[in-house]
Amino acid sequence: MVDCTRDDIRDLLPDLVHDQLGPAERARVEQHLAECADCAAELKLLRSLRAGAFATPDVNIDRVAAAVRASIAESAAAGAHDGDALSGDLASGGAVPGGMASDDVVSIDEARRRLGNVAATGAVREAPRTRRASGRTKRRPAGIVVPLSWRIAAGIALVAAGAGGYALTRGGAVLRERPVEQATVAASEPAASDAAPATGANRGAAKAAAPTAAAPMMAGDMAGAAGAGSDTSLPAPSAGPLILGDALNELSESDMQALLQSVDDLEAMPDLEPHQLPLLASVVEGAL
Amino acid sequence: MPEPIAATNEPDDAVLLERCRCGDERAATVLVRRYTPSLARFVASLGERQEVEEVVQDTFVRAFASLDGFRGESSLRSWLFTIARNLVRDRVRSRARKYQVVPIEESHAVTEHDALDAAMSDETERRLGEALELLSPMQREVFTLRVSEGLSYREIATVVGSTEGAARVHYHNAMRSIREFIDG
Repeated sequence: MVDCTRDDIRDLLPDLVHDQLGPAERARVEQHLAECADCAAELKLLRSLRAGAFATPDVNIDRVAAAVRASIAESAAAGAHDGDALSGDLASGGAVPGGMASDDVVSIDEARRRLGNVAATGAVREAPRTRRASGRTKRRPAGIVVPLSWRIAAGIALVAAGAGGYALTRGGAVLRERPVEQATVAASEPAASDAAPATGANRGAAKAAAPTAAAPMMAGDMAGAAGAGSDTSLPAPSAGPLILGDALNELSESDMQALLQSVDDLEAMPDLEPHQLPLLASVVEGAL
Repeated sequence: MPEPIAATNEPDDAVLLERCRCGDERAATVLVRRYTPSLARFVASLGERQEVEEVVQDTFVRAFASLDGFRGESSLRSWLFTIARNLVRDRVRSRARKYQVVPIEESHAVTEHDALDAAMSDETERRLGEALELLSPMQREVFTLRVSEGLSYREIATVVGSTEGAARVHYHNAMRSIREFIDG
């Protein structure tokens, strides 16, 4: 049991064990220890604990130091490479990073090799430790190699995305042009808008010249979103302008009626939400 | 307070840290040598006995990788202990998730020191080890940092995320438990 109530003295006993007391405090504690068997016993216990119960585990300090040095070198090399690559890009168009020897760039494999050489003098578990050490760095090391299979997969994904985008664009363009022809609103359009593509600066001019073509664009969007199949009886895509954006209220009444009729006549309407089309038509009708 | 360095006449932590920031690997080596034993004891006291060296190494790697974030508000030693403590906790959690095992708590901790007990030739040391294992995890952390490493209560509070007063209470409760175990 602990009988002494001098917590202020007992608080300092670990500091006495570690020789961390100033002369005055040390004298005060030692004076109390000479009079208090309880605190003297506690001090003896603390010394025993420190000497025995807190034994230092078997750790190879050289190995730890070598791994830490390798990690620091790797980080420094990565940082130097990043900064130098940037300055090289600015100065020489990125051809050669200036002011850096090629030896300064250390890849992960090189760092592992270096660490492996150091640890070969009696190390165990070098590989996972090296990987761990190198993996802790925030910066990506220079010279990192992306596996070939990843590159191939990325290339395939890129090509597929491009092809899909192109197909969607082509399909959407055809579908968008279909209502224009059905609405027969192109008769009064300037000749320039007939061949105007839906991209670039021509878009604005065509839009200004043929505002009535905007609503068919909307119908085309709906048909395109529904994934309508191609209709071989439709006229050629070049028959009408392809115009993006505009307001329904800019349509003349006859054009709107033609649009609504063309929408009603569409066979390939959205299957997913079949009730939206009449609702949309009624809303548009009401707006007129 | 840092480890005694008078015998080797090595620069103090602040000087070495500044050199480390400039990429001086020798300064980093000095710090590694200075603090590896303390960190190893602390890591072992937390129950991580199989991979002490790996945890210690990771502690230094993380510390040197984030030196810019160390503002010197606490001592380097307490900062290192904090990193090591977090690493051990992460590993315990990771193992618990991976193997669906119960993290080591008080009731399980006694069996953790079988290997260490075998190495203890002295009966008193063995009993001291058992007494330590009976402490709660927080008591054991605080007691280890105070007795084994000589950290102040303020430093301990920083490491364990507590207050000085709470650290002091944990220490005295731990000491009372150990003395009761030894005397009983």
